Amino acid sequence: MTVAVAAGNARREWRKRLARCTRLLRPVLPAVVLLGGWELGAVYLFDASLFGQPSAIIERCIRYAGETRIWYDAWVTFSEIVAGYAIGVVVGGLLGYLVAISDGIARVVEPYVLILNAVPKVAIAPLLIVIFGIGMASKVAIVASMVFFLMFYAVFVGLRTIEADFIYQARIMGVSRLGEIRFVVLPAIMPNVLVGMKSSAASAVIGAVIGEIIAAQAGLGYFILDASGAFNVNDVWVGVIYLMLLLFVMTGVIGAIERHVLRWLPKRRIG
Amino acid sequence: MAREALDMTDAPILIRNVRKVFPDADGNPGVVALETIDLEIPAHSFVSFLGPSGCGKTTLLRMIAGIEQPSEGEIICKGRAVTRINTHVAYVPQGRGLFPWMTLRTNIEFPLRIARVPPRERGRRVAEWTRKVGLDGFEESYPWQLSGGMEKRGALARALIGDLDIVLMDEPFGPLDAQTRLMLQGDLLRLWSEKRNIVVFVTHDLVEAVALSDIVVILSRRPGRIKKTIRVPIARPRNVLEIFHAEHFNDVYDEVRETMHEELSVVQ
Repeated sequence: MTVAVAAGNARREWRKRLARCTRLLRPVLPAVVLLGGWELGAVYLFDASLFGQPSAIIERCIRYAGETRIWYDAWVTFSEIVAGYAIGVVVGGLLGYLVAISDGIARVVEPYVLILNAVPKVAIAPLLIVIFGIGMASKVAIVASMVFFLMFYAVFVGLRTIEADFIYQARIMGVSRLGEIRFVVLPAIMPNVLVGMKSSAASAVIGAVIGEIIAAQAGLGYFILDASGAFNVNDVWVGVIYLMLLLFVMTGVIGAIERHVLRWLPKRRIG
Repeated sequence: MAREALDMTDAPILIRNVRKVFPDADGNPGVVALETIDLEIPAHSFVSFLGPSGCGKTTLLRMIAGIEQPSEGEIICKGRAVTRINTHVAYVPQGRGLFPWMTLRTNIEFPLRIARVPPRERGRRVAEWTRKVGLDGFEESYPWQLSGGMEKRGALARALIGDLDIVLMDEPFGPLDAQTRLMLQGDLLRLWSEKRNIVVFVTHDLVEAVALSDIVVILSRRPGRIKKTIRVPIARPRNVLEIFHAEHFNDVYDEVRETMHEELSVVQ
């Protein structure tokens, strides 16, 4: 009797453990199928020199990690992104703020922002390289031009939709002009600012890579261009993977900032 | 209230011949929200503005706060015409009571911080007021972590902590359930009785107006005019839960109800 119960318990325990394992593994499954299929296809079906081969890509990723070249390229791209991103966020946010609070400034600035936003940034990238040279400055300019508009509108919309009662409440308490910005306006638009920062991070990476592919002497975009010029498809993939890692780091940092700055937001989900 | 005009001009709030017209979408004068409002609010009184929605009672309150300006006439608060934001009052707006990005403590402390009260004194008063409204232990919570009633009690504490002579409240208990409302009305009367500052209270709830106030000002439908001013002689301290049994309650309630009823029946 007790033996049977114990055996039943053990079996249930084992089944539970199995269920937990499959639950953890389920999200990994598509990746395994995809990479496995790709690997098998590269060996048996199609030309690996056109599509690359996962095992070789992973092997190269690890090998490059031990060398300085790719880290130097990653560093160059990273610096371009950070500098351009910072300029775009600050200038775009500031201008969005000024346009939102002052009708006088809005009348002058807003039409120009509207027109310039219609310019495809990729199309003027060659122009920026002519102006700023093939070094980092041109890439910083491209990144900044892409981040600028996203931040401009994020801050602008944030200010236009701010709950006026919050401002009146603070003013009735006798808050100073500066205190109003610090204690009410900035915190209230922070959700919009962070949406702008998050959505422009991916654009920033795109901007830097486009610049490097057009003309550069270093950077991950240049690395990719170099590899594809040598018909080294696996190395193109390596460059792409390092770029993805870069974006992960950026979104990770922005996410951490968001969790801290917006800790006052309700933690709720719809659905 | 009989208008004892001249000898009462030291009343802390004087509303003189106020008219308010809101411009329409094209900027032309459109809706007349308030018409010839004449009112004196004496010191230490709890006054309610009661009326159907859209009668301009909130607009009148916002004009006392200086958020809106009268189109004609003037509002005088403590001897000075209100021509800009009125920093001599505390104001509890409709809807959300607290800043959602500040903890309860920072919220309640905020008026003192603005007034440059030294930190030690601030800490003492915040502790005192969180206790008074029964929110001790929740100091580090953000507003979304509090229930609607708790957030309102926080807003009450923030409005009263500055010890101002005039407190304006715009349907502060509007969205709450009946139970919580009664609790908070009781809390408000208890806290008010300590200091007896002026409270100007906007509501569309008849019982609430009678239960809390010394004076009920009934406004007509748009354009809002003062339909009647009714004194509430119910003795204090009042028990909000037992207000139906209080002496004079029925008489005052009937008078208010009839006035309101006339006003509502005009619609048909």
